[in-house]
Amino acid sequence: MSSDSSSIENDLRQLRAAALDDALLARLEACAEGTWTRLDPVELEFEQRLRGMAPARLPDALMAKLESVVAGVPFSTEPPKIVHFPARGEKASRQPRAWWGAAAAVALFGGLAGWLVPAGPQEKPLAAAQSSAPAIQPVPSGQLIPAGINRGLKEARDEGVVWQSSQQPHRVLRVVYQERVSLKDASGRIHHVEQPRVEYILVPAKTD
Amino acid sequence: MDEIPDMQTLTAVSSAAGTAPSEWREWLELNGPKMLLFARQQTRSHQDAEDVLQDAIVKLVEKIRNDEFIGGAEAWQPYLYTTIRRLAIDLSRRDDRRKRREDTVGFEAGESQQQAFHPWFESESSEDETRVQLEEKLKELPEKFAEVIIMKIWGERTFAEIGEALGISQNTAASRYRYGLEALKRSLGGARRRGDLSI
Repeated sequence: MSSDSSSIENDLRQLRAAALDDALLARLEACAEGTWTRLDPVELEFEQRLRGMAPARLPDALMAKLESVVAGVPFSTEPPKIVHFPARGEKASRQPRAWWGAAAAVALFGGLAGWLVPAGPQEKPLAAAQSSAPAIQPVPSGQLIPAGINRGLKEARDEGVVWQSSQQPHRVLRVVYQERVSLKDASGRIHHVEQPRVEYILVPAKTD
Repeated sequence: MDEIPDMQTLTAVSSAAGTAPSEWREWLELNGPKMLLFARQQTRSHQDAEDVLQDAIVKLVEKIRNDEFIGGAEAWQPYLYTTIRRLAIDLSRRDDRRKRREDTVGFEAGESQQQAFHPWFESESSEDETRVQLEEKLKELPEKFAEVIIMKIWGERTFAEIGEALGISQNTAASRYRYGLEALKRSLGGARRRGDLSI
């Protein structure tokens, strides 16, 4: 660095950033204390006066257009089905949910196979079963054993922010899992059962 | 080809049917004016505001119909405010491109004449001066102040919700609101002191 540059640098170092003015300081303090969003009585009074002026109602033609847009759409005020995160500090219970799922899938598969497969070799297969489920290969019931389970994340999507009655915003994540259970029959053939599962996860959203 | 009935005819038919107002209609009558007011502030003309509001409602309804909307009815308004703003910005960009290609002098004059027939606020005849002044001063305010004021006062949104819709923090929303309110009070000051206004 040349002596000129060095001298300028020293001069600049002597300068001090201007102090915050009182108004900005008060504002930052209020933000830090979380009181900046509370209005004072004078502001509230003016706000109230302004609120006395009602927005113009929708023109009839626009109302008719909007009514035709919403026609046939159910007006539902039901809140969404949402899975909450466990509360902070709460110990996550270790439930063998995946294996319960596998067991249920095995039972379901076994039951289905039992219904589809004839009891004896002489009996004819059920026509209805053949026509309704051609893809399923009959397997001897009761001889399927779990060979593996895979619970893959298929898709995760941010669905935006929702406001619940508590006025606390939450970000909603839609997570789609694809559960795949592999079952082995007596002859060693592997059968797969796949099933998607959707979970909505609610995460407290940062608003500031 | 069948003639498409105009909207006034549709309204008349709907009224003549004499059925009780649907839940949607009640909801639209209650909340539509607030959102149209916001759309008017966000767009350049009354017609644009109506189009933007309609498009926002279409988007909401599509989401509800496809079971993709997250949240109950209380989440509709935050969604609509965000969508109206986004659509208004898109429209404004398209208009800017279009206007660069057009001679707009005559067009703008016609447009401002049209605006006079679509007041932003309801008013009794005794309050007409207040309405005119308030609308004028709101239009003169910097957009970032006006949008927060309209969402807070007439949209009855919280600072947190406004922040979410505008992509700013709730403290920034509160700052813009305060400065905007102060500026509005100042600009209405003369008329208020003379007692010309009811606010």
